[in-house]
Amino acid sequence: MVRLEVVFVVLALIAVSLAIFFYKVVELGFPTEPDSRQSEYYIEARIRFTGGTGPVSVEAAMPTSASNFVVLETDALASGFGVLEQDDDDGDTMLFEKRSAQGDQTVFYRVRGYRIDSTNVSRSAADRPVVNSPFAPDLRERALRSDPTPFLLALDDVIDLAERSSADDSSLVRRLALILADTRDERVETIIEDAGADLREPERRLVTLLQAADIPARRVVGLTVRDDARSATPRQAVETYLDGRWRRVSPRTGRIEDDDIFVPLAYGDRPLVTGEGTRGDPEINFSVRSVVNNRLEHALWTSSNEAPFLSWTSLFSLPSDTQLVFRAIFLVPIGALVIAFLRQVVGLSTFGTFMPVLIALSFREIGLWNGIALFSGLVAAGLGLRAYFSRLHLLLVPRLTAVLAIVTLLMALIALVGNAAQIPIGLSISLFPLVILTMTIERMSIMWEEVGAREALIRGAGSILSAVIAYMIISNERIEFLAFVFPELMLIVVGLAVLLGGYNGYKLSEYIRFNMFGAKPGGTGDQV
Amino acid sequence: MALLDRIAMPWRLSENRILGINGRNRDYVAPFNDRRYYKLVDDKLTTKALAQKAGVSVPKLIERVDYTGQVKALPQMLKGVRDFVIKPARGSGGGGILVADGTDENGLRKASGKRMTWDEVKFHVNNILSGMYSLGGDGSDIAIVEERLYPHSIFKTLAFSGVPDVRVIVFRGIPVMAMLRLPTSESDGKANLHTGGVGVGIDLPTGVTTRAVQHNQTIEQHPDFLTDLTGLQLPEWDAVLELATNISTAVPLGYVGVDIVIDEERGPTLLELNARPGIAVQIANRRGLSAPLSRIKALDEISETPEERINLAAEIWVSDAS
Repeated sequence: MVRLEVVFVVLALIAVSLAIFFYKVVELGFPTEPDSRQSEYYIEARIRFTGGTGPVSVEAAMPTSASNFVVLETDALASGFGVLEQDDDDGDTMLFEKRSAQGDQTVFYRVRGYRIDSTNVSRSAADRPVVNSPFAPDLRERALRSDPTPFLLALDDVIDLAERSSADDSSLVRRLALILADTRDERVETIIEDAGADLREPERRLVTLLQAADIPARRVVGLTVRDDARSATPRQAVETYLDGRWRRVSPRTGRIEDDDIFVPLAYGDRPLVTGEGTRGDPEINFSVRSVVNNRLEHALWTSSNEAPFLSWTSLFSLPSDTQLVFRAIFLVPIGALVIAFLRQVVGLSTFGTFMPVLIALSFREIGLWNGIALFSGLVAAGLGLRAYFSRLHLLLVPRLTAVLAIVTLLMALIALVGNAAQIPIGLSISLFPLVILTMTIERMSIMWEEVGAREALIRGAGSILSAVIAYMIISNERIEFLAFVFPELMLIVVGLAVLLGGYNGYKLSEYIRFNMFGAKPGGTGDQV
Repeated sequence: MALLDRIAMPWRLSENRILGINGRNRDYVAPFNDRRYYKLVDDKLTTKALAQKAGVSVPKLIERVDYTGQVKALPQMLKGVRDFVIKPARGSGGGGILVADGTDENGLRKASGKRMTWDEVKFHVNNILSGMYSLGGDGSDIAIVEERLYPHSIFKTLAFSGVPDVRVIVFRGIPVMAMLRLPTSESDGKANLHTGGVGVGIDLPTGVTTRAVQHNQTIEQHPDFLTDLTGLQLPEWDAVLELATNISTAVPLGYVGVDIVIDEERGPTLLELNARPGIAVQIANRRGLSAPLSRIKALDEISETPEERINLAAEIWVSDAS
């Protein structure tokens, strides 16, 4: 039975397609919608310096993975320089070295990483870091006994006050931050003025005091990652070790404030960039930009390890301009399926199958209303032209050529006008294939002459209507995303098309066409 | 309720065994009509040859114009020829047909009485040659000049200016349903239903008209002549059925529409064949095609003789009505 075979083929196609689809989604973690919450970013640093006469070596701080940011990969752009990644407790760095680099130099590095939900991070407690402070309680006690400087007295006093009025580490952090933030307090004044190191900044002050109170704390310089920030200025922050992990706290209130995405660059006193053999200090600038395809890239990266075949067949292995082409091409069969449905089941009449799809694709570029206006305008102009050429008694093919040439000119004119008015319609015009447009004009005018304006307009309107319906489906971002990321879903389109091909039921339009059978048989005019 | 009146309830169509376009294509055209034989019926010259071999009456071929170069010789070619028709060999839907009374040195006199200059005639024939009226709408075609048919006198007050024809749907050599198509002033002399022609249902065994429709509406009288359209006995009906069944067995197509003109002198004459006949015949007859077609589809063997096939057709028709 052919019918059974059709059902079998359809089911097999859908099953294969869904199997690959679910494998990719469940096992490899492919996202199923374009906008995943997990976002990916590029952090780019530009380092400028002036080389001296001798060898040059520049060391720049690099972003490191943090509680809610994971660094995926790093690459450097520095022609002629030897590049070396290093990591130690104070954070990762990148070292650029060259035997001789006179004059102004610019080197880049780029880090790709993605944001994660910090609540997902397991709280597996690393060991509490050892605190190394010159003012640690035992050292402080000894020093106070031998040489009680005003600085030590003030420091001890503040810590004592904070410890007495707090229950645990986190409340101690808060108490301490609040006391230290008040620069009018005379103890705080003493601490700032008499400190050997610069404790004018509240961050350094808090870190020094926390360490003195035997609470792990560190100063960190890093970047705040936001979706809309192109250039980013590093800022400093305070981290303390609370509940088994490093938390960022406000230096003024001591409250935990680490909901934003903060990418650490350097810990402690390490500068962001240092140079040896350079004239003056090197300069470093950062920029952050989000990558649209977040989780997807990550999944692709996973699949390259776990399922090499899938990643090899992935369309993402194509050059990006080719990818763009396929993003559009993959919509064509979906659009054609919509048209097939409208023709076979609904019973809309259109000019050809592909023309409405192509019109729909161009609507996608130019917008629906502009598109309808452009299409109707061009066809109307073409019909008028054709009527005129027909009056000149021209033959069919030369007449088509003349219409085509003038329609081409009209398109160029529209593109020029659109350009002047800053409406980008160049691309969409390329999607209105000239030949199809001209053939439409010709066919429509023949129909106009032969069967009458009514039928011709019905077909024309049917074409536009089905293009609009196809547009509504293929302009859906999610459908475009799914079609491109999961090419295997195209097999479902094949399956549905086979199913439609096997449909021998009535078209919806036939319920109108045969409406006289709606009346009861034996009614008026039914006797023989 | 007005809207509901315009739409048949879903179950109504299958209850009446109506054949839809999808059903026609999938269940009858695709399995019974091999695509490579379409050209036999799409090209009127081939059809003519086939018909002559099968002993079926066709309009006589007078001239054929194959190339644009021959067009300028048209006045010479048609000199003294009277009552002819110029049409595209692979025309569709009756397009590009020119009916003429005769010619003179200035041009041609159309059947409607209007005159055409030779320039206009040449332009028309060139359009035919460039495939303007032909199936597919591109490529090229051949223009044929053939003898003009004169509809039987019964049609004098039934057909407006054009030629009325009988469309018989034949499946596996058995006539299944038939309708008479009448041109009206609205349809511009063409017998096409969708341009406003009148479709008249025919009682298949007897050839008596049963009811008429125009624009999907039941009508009692011809819109131009106000003559009654029902209860008319069509002339030479047995010969019409015989022609239909004979020609359909001469072409390797299972499901065909046979268009026949009942000529005053020649009797039933084959106009053309259609490999994808429309389904409007059901509206004119207010009967579905599915019931008789599926019955014929189930037959193991079909008689060789036309008489038996026509008898079978009548039998199916009558049993379907009850």
